[in-house]
Amino acid sequence: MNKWPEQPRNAAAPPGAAFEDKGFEADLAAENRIESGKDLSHDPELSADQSLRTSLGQIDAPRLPDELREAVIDHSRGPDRPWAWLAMAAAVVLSVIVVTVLDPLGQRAPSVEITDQDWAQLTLAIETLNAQGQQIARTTQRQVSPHLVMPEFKMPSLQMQLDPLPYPDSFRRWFQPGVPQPR
Amino acid sequence: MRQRFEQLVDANGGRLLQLARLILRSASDAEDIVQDSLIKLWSQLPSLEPGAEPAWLMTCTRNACLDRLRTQRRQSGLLRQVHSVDRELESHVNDRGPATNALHQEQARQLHDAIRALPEPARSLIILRDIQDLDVATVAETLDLTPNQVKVYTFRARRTLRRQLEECSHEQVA
Repeated sequence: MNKWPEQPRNAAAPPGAAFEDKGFEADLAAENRIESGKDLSHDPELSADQSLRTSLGQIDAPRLPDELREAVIDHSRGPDRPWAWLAMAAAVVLSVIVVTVLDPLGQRAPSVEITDQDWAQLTLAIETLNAQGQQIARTTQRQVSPHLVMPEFKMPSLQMQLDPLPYPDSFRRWFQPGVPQPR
Repeated sequence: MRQRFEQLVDANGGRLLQLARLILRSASDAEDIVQDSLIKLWSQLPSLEPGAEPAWLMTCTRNACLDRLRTQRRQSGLLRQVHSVDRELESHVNDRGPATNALHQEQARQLHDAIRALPEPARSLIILRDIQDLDVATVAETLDLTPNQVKVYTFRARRTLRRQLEECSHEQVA
């Protein structure tokens, strides 16, 4: 009567397969009587089964701990977060594109205004560098040449006549587009 | 969908925890498994038919519990962590509240042990049908049985359980 299959029977099994189990129908009828809730006091075995069933039914399910519930609910909120980040990133990219399209480089005003005094200082710096470069070249020639004397070789005289920068104003238009082109 | 999920968590969470606690010895293991099952539910929810969720949850939780039991049995050392687990079980039994008010604490412990000692699917049938009073169709779907098999096997499982409990009480009297 208390045989138990090792594995659950497949529900797809033929309907008649269950009835190969001897006592199946009798046990089914007994269970139906227990479930009906009728008075079974005339059958002590069934009455005891019914009593146990009633006792088991009085065991309430525990409450899900708050921490566990929160952890699960939090998890369900997780998958939406990447979408929010993606939306924010898309908004940033879109705003950059809009700004770039509406404000091309050629129309942008210079962020720093260069005064004539700034430009005079820049010109002086360039001319100073040029003059110092010529002086270094002359000094180097004078000091190094004596050590380079070779019997068959005569050092050619170097004319380091570096001209001043031909068009110093050509730099200026990089910074001040309004300056007229140099001639 | 989140609202539906929260409703399912609230409606089924306690039952799942009870199922897991009655199969496993460790209450913390039971909570881990229930948490995993509910998280899996969230990912599966779009593909589940409305109304099929309880059976899906029960199946998922039960399978996870049985897998955990098999693992524990393989690791015999862990299975013998009787003292700590028993203490946890005792505390669990103690704070069950009105659920076991009708039963003596010792009887409740014996009942838990007797349910755990049942083979599958008898154990699951007792929990799902008699303790949780789930309908036959849901249990049949959960355990992959026909409705009549659910009834007959539940009847047999209950009788086995009753005899085990009677033997325990006879031994105590003796």
